Amino acid sequence: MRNFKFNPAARIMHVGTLALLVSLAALTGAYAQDAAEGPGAPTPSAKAAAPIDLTGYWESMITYEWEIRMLTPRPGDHDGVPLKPAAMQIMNAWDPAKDTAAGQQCKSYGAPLLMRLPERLHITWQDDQTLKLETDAGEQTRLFRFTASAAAEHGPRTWQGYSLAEWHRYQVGARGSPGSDQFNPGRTQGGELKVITTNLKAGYIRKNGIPYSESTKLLEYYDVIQDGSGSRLIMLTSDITDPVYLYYPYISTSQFLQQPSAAGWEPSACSAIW
Amino acid sequence: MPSNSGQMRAAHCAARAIFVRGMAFATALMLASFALPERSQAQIAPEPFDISGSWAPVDTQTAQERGWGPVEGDLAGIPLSKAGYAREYAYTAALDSVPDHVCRLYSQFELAAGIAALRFWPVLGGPPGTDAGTRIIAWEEAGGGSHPLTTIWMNGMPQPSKYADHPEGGFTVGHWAGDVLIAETTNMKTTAMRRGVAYSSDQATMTSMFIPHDNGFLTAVFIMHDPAYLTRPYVYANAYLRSSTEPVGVAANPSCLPNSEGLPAGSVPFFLPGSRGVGDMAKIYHVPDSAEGNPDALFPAFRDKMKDQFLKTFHTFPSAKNCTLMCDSPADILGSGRTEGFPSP
Repeated sequence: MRNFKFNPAARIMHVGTLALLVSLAALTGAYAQDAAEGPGAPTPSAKAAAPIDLTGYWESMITYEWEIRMLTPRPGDHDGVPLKPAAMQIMNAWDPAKDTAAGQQCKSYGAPLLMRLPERLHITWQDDQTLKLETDAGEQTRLFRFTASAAAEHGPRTWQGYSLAEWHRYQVGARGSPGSDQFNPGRTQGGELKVITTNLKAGYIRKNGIPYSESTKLLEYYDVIQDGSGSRLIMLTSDITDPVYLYYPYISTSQFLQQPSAAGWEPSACSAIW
Repeated sequence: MPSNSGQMRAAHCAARAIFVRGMAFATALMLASFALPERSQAQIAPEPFDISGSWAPVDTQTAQERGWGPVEGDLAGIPLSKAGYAREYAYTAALDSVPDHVCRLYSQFELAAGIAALRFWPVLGGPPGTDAGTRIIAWEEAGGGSHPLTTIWMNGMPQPSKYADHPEGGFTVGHWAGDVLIAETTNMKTTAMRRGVAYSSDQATMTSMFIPHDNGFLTAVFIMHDPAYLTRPYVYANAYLRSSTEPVGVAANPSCLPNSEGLPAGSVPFFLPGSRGVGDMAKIYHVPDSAEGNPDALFPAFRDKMKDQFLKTFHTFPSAKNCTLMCDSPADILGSGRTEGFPSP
């Protein structure tokens, strides 16, 4: 049987060690989430990792550039578009009847213009790594892939091209920010979706025949905001780079109001004039 | 019976073992603290995003509206209430030349509807003692030209009563939501929601959201709330690019000084109800009157009401080769600093 006696030095060491252990445990706990999301943890799917919820029905809400978005722009109206001379020639030759006759009426429904058309969106997860965006205008489908696909990237060009997506995340409550997220009440994280689209079939950047080329790269940021009246909006920022027809990037913003249901969904075929 | 020296040796060994373990934990703790520097050091409190500096506006969007101005009577896309509609249809741009009205244009919302660049810089402060000067208590926001300087208070300052003064620039408080700076402006003067076309009431408030992206992009969302003249929030957004070479000037205080614009003394231009006539929107774009200021006209379903009439007259537009409106060369929209980083045409 061991003979325990009071030892001041050992007692101090025990207490000190205990304090250190408690401190270390507290720190470990505080950063456990960071560690769990560290390099050793399994990577969650894009669907599971989504910092914002883009799914559901959305509708264009057009509060500026109304006359060139709600209506077909006047022939030659390229206000704000930094066109090169080669593009001007194509624009000047625009003939919607010819496009229709040639079966090219979807030229104004390619990804660079699609999101600026008056329309409804239906966004769903096609699978854990692919977000699907459908439009009723022109009945188009965009696929935002979170995993690279060589087949899609280098396959035949399409109106919607090849879109590679990634989430940009921020931690609400971290780095001095408040503990609640105005954009996503009840959630503890936020962020945005970044999408880069390439491998596009050449089409129109504006409905009145202003062209974009196959070399076009479309960069998009999708954010979700609230407008202060209880409505959620997608705020989309788009950057179109086309070394063939544009002097410098054509940048714009668009907004979509969340809808409670599919009511109003009105699929319509591509039209070259309307 | 164990000897005293044996007991002492055993106790010494135990204490040494405890000491070694303790030192190991202390070392681990110290190393851990080195690995987590920002969370434990008392420096200037970091912000979720460093918004300070100049931001160049991108004028590929709404170039006409934000540049040389919208066509007369362009109310399309603004969700006006009946009161707002009545007011705007009595309004003529000549009213802006009345000395009392000259400065109404230059407000926070004009930062959205105009072509101004943005500049932010921090105001440091903090309670007396060690925190003094180590916290950002406000952001100053300037738009150059005649736009009033806006102070975005980040220190929990309460907003004043709606009956308090409505100074040039209003009163603004802000907070971070993640990496997004959100500013709420109250106590605004009546101001332009669309230049030379539509004005807010003095009950209006404004929410500004500054959303950073990578590649030096910033999306600024400006939302006007006006219980008197709007049926729903009027949302406007612009993109900006971080600029390193074009610092935005700061306006003097006051930022706008009214002067005579040639109106006879006592003259207050206006339209009587029904006397305004057909506006340029109908002439130039064939926009039906029903679209002007109509909240329904913001949404796709409204197109069904315009389609037939518009297509009937579409062929009457001049051809692209004979374009005389909104058909300027790219050089016309290249402003100083607005296209920094882009190749020259």
